[in-house]
Amino acid sequence: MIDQFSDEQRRWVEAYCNETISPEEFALFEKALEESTGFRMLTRRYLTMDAHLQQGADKIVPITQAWSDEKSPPENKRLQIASWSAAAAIVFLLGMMLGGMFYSPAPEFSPAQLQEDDGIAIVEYATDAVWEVGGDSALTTGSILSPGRLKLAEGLAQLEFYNGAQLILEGPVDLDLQSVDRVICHGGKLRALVPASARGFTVLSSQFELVDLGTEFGVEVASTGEAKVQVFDGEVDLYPPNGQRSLDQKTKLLGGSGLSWTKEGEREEITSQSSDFATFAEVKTRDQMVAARRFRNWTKWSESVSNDPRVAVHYDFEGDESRLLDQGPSSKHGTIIGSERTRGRWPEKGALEFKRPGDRVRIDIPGEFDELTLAAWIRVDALTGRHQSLLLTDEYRLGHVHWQIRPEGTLRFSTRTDEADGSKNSGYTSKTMFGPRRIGVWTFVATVFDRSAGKVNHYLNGREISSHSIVSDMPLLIGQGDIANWSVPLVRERGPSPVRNFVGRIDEMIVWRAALSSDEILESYHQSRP
Amino acid sequence: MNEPSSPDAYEQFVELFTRNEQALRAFTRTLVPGWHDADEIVQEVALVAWRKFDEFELGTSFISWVCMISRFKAMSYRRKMARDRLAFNNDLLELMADEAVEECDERQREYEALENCLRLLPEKQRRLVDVAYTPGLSIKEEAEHAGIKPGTLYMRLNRIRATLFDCIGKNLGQEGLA
Repeated sequence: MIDQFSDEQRRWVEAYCNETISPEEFALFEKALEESTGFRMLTRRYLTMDAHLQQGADKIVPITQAWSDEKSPPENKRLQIASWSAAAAIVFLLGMMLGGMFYSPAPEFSPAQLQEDDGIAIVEYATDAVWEVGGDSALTTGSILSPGRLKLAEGLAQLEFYNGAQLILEGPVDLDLQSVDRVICHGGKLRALVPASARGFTVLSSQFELVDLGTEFGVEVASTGEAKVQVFDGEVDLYPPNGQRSLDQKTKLLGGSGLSWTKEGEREEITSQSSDFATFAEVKTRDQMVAARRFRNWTKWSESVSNDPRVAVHYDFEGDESRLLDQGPSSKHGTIIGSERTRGRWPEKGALEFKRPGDRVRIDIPGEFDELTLAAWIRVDALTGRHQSLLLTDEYRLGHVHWQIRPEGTLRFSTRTDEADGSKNSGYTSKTMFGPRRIGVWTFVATVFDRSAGKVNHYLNGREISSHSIVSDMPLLIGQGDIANWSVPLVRERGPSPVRNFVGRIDEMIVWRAALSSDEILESYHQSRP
Repeated sequence: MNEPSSPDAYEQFVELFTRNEQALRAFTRTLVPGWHDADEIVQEVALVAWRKFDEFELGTSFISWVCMISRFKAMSYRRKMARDRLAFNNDLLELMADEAVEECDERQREYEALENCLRLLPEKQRRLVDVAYTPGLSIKEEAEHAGIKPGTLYMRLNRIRATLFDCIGKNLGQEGLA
């Protein structure tokens, strides 16, 4: 803690660290250090942080971009009109980052950046869910939901709102997510579990407005207008759907009871039947079964990939050796450095976790490529504001390939095109792929280089998201390099190397000496998606 | 020069060195006036350690070994330094080095905590950190160039560092330790 320094000590340390300390003060500083073990320890901690900070800074930023008059109003207007759900999102995000630890921000700290995300809920399980929302938008486990229409065509899905309310949807379901505590049900069947933290959670339909008082209940709304509410535990208040919530029209329902409506709006009391609705345990079991099936499917597909003569390397990230096994025909195994084994797309699937700046896999992929496809299943766990390596060659010589995520979340494939001038390279940058919504979500990325067609294409989850014409026509090389990091040869004396380590998990990487068609990429995605 | 040349030794060295580089940099930083001095020394240590790698006994502590090299490098570096630079006297440097070598594990944890804390900084502040710690840039010149008083800039950096220092402390539960 900074206040463990006395004011005088703090002034010395800061001035020493900035190298603005005067000779007189330095003499006092030295003397105080010699006399106090505790002061020495704190000073080392402070200087250490100074060293660590330098390691994190690897990009050149013009100072003007980093400067603002502190007295000017906040840039982000949303800060001032922060809605309750945004506030909840911030609390949630902070909680995630700090692991629930108490953290009181210093006055200068403002979480303006975290406001960018308007998410209100997370998809907990969605393994066999088929969504109809926003065209082909594929919601998977871990996806974040914003306010808006949500349609589940079939299958089961479980949502968790930021306030703790959980919903099970049994497709087909048509919902309008309005906020973290308010949902309109246009049709379909859902079960809700509302903890005390989410009391007041409201479900609206054409027949009723349901206000929860901490409970578990089921709602069923037919598109023709019939509806049912069943309370399994606790109590709910029901009002007519006019938004008035007038007390004289309130009906209280307790556990075990329920109400049904005809399409004309006539009510009838019923007893509740919890077994009419999918339970949380059932969703989990089904999720596990689907996951097991998908994993088996992937295993078969993966074998066929390994036997494909076009494959240069196929790292499936399975096993527990210190090598990363190449299952392809040439067995060019990689060497795991630092990174630890962890869970992949499925519970049974292996993966590597990349976290520390040293974590990497050393690889060596020989050959020249007129066609090249790079594909990987990755889970980005943090946007670091700097480059994150997927696959970088050690050297960056003529034809060498660099494949990485740029600070703004785009995917970039680039190659050196001029032997003499290191700044000359041709790069192909996708549209933004990785925003806050992709953090922690397994994602399939692929880039295809096709020299004869003169194209470089980027794919996200099997779909092309950008296509570029090749600028410089030459074959590509990989050779020695890193997965998830960049090894600028250490023994060569040169400036400090920039930090490029990937932060997250990778559980499969395939390099084909061929340009896969867009159909093949889509097929790969479907055969291997979690 | 007697460099161990097998590719295995190189892999092994790179692994050991990268795993320990951050702790080594931290250690070195506590002995010299600026982080760029620490950087230069770490580069030299990498070179020396690689040349002498066949003297290193596998199974013993690599970090202690490179810290020892760094300590001697820091002392000779100090002698070569410009007169007007204010560097710790030899006794204090040795005292700091003796104590710092015990703290390497703590350094690694602090580093990880710092990564978390940095993510919580507002963008402008993070960028300012980037400017201040970009190798080869003089923060003073940059500030003057942009018409900002260096003193104001240092004050702001001090505040950011204080925020981060506290955040690391809270993350690691260091409140009670002094």
